[in-house]
Amino acid sequence: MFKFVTLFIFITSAAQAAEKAGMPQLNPSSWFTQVFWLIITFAFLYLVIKKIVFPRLSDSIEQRNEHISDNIDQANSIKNQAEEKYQEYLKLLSDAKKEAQDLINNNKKVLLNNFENKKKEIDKKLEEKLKQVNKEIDAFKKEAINNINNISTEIAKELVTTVTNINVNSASANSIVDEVSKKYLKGLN
Amino acid sequence: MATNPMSQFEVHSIGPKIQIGNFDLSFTNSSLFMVLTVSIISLFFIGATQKKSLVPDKIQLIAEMAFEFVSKMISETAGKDARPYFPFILSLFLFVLVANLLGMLPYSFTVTSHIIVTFALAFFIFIGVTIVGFAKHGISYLKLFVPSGVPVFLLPLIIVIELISYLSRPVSLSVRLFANMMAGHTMLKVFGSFVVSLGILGGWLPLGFAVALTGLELLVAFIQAYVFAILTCIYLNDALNLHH
Repeated sequence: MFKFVTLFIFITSAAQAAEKAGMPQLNPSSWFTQVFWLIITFAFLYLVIKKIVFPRLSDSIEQRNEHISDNIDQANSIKNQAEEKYQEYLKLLSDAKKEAQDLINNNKKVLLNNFENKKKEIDKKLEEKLKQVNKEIDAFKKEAINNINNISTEIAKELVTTVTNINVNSASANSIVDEVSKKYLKGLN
Repeated sequence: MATNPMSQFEVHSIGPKIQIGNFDLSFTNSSLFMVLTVSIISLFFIGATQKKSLVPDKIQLIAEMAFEFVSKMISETAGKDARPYFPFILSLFLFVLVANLLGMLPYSFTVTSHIIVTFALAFFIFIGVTIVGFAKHGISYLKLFVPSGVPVFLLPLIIVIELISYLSRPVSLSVRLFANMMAGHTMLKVFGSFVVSLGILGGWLPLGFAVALTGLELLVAFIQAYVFAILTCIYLNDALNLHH
């Protein structure tokens, strides 16, 4: 509605105005001066823009873009460096871990070896002791057998003397006892 | 103050009369506003680009925004071949834009509200684009009038239509700008005179309209400058790339 009203007002007013004075735009007497001054001013503007404004603006925009891309490049290189350092750090860390693990393993081995050695030593000592003890027992056994022979001879002599009143020659008694004991003690030895 | 809404478009000479042969080349109010337009643009852009700092201040930022706005417009419509014409398109856009905006000041003169000014610009563009087209493609630039994929028996008709549309480019380009500017300013003037004639009691409604129209006209001033520049880019694209 508003549109129509304004349009109507505009058309009537414009028509009235055109009737009164006509459009100054259609008066050719001012055309030459307008075109003349347009050429002068526009040519001047074109020169100013082409020679001064355009180089300056494209320069500063290009410079800024360069600066930005430089900064981005720098940031990328720093990032790569950081990445490298991080990898280095990771490697150091894993090396240290490996070293620690090695140390632990070595120490374990050493300890285990020590333990084994000590055990062997003690075992050896024990064995030697055992052998000695066995030897002692054997010696004792032999001694005991000899002692048994002597005692048996004495007992036999006494027994024969008391029973038969015959004085027995100790040598013959001893040989008899020996014979008997050999017969009986065979199984024991 | 003249009450005739068309009197704002009158051209009258300021200062001495300059006459060369039969041509009256006097300095007029129109010339004054052309000089003002060019001076404002030159001073603003030279001042804004004086420091060329890496981090721009506000003025430099505006200059760079205008630069990149036009740069984007050209690369999107005409491609990178149109790069050498960038200063011209930028000048054209800024000239039309600032002339339009200056015309929005009360008691000022709108350079672009005169058909002869817009037609001179459009005609210059038309001739320039035609020269560029023939320089780049030679006689095969005439293929512009022969769209591909058209049946042969239709060709005579199509060629005539294409030729007329090509020849009417400067007319449509100039009339669009001139008519928009003249209509807007006439309307503003009409509403302004309604405010005066209706006085303190009834003048509020037309005043409101005038305020709203001023906002609209500011938008139109920008849009018409943009349209003028982008159509130039499109014509340039036709001449450079021959996309028919």
